[in-house]
Amino acid sequence: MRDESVNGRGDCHSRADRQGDVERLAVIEVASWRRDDPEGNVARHHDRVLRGLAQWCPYVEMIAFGVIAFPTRGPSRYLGGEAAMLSDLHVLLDELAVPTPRVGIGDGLFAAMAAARRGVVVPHEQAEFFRRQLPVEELGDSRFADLARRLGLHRVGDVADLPRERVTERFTREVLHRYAVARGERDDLPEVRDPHAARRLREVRGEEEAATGQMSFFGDKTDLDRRAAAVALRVTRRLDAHAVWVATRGAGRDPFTAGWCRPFTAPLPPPVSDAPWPGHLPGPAPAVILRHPVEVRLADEHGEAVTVTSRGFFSRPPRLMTVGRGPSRQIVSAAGPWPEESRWWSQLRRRAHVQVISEGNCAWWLMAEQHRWWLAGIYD
Amino acid sequence: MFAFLPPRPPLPSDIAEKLRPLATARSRILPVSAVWKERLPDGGLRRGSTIVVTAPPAGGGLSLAMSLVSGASDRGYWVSVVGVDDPGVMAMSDLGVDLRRVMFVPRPRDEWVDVVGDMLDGVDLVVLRPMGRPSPDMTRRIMGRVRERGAVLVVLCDEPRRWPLPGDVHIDLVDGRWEMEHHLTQRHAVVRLSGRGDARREREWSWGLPLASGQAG
Repeated sequence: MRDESVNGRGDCHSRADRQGDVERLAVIEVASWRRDDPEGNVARHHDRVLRGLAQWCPYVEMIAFGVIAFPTRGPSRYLGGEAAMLSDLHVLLDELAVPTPRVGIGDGLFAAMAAARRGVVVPHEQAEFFRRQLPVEELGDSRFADLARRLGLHRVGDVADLPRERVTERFTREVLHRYAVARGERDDLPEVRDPHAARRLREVRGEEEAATGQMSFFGDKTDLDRRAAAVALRVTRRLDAHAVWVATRGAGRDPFTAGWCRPFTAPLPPPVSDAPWPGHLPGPAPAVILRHPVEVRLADEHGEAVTVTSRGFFSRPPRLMTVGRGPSRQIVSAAGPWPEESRWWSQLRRRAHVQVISEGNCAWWLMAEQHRWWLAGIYD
Repeated sequence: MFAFLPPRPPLPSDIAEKLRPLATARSRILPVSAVWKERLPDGGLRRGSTIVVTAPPAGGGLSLAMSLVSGASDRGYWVSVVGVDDPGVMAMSDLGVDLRRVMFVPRPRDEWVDVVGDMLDGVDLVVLRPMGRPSPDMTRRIMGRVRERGAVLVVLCDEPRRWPLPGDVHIDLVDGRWEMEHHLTQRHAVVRLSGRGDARREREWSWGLPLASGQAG
């Protein structure tokens, strides 16, 4: 309810969110980097690749040694579709000298990691089928897998079909977690994120609190900080490993790089040295910045689509905006477009930014890319 | 009495000892930024109280709520923000929030009541955008827990009565007008404050939320 009205988002976006919050992820797996080494060479390789990828997608995350993930949504990657994104990615991985990476795409981390091991892209429509046909060993715990095999449950789908009451009464909380993954209710296994990997990464980056481990985000540790850390952990156990987020303020005033959120268990993101947007959005910053921009239709008073001309002006005055499949809103005034040119890996992309005030005195930040508009922020 | 659904995993004993807040006279009020200090009935946020912020969808409620908790976060108190998707980190920092002491639970799904219960054990301020329509009973339990823990709950609603019980203080964003001069410059917001006790005397003021600098005032 809230999604459609408050955020002005379209149906499609809010519905996708509600389906267990499953995010479409790409996973890169590098078999020869699965083990840490005492000299820290492997961690340094990860650091180098993460920095390279961060120029291209701001939400890259190291899950464990040899496993790197990032969301595949977002306007730049929507445009050419996943196939185009993958070919860009392979060029990039090649330039970064990553030894025989395997790449896969799937819905949620569990499926995306399984897809990467097989080097496949699992279409969204086949997410359920793909998950169900995986061998039961994919659920992680070898003792559980042995037991399942003996009970004649060979596939993840067989486990998913067990009645919930029986699983609840017979198994531990941890097995219940794996059962929820099998059913697609949760999207990552309990042990998937390796805190040791996060710590090593911080060490090779010389981040000061590295030695104290993943909790070091909480800094100087007053009693209040310790209480906060304890409940953050409790909530991640209740929901999942990336349920609790913390924010970092970067330098500058570019909303894409001036601050970002990450799961509190994850290491600090690498600094983005070559910010893709040299300018900045004028005026106060939007209180909401969409991680996954939603498509918007801008039209003039006759319903004709508005675009940005090659000279960087509106093709016609914008009068109506429609976010996703939501209702149309009258536009009271608009400012911009402000052009931005950025090099998204190996190709120049042009974007333009506008600010729009709609009826009811709501203000929005929209972004144009190749004749399409995206809602990027809300001045809530 | 405050049965918060399934049993929680026990807290380590060394942390559990530190959980009960010390309700000395001085610490009963959590600090706020200067612009709020002169406007709030107690000159701050009274521990144990629930503040209901109502603003139209995408109409400035989030900025208002974050500016309300910014002073406390700046003085070392933790803020947990539950149910707010995609927070704009720069805007929050500009409003005065110390990002080092904020944690977000953007999508607590249908477990938001438990998540709020967990958070009230460990942080002093919780900003909550409730999912769906909480029942009066659920609301009563949460507010009881806020009192019990001596925390402060700021509920963010997009329409009146989305939170079915009255809060201790109500802050309504009754009007917000964006100013645009070549670009967005500031929002002129009219804010009305009412409530119980000292807040019974209704007051109304207009200010920039945010100003061009990103601050409130």
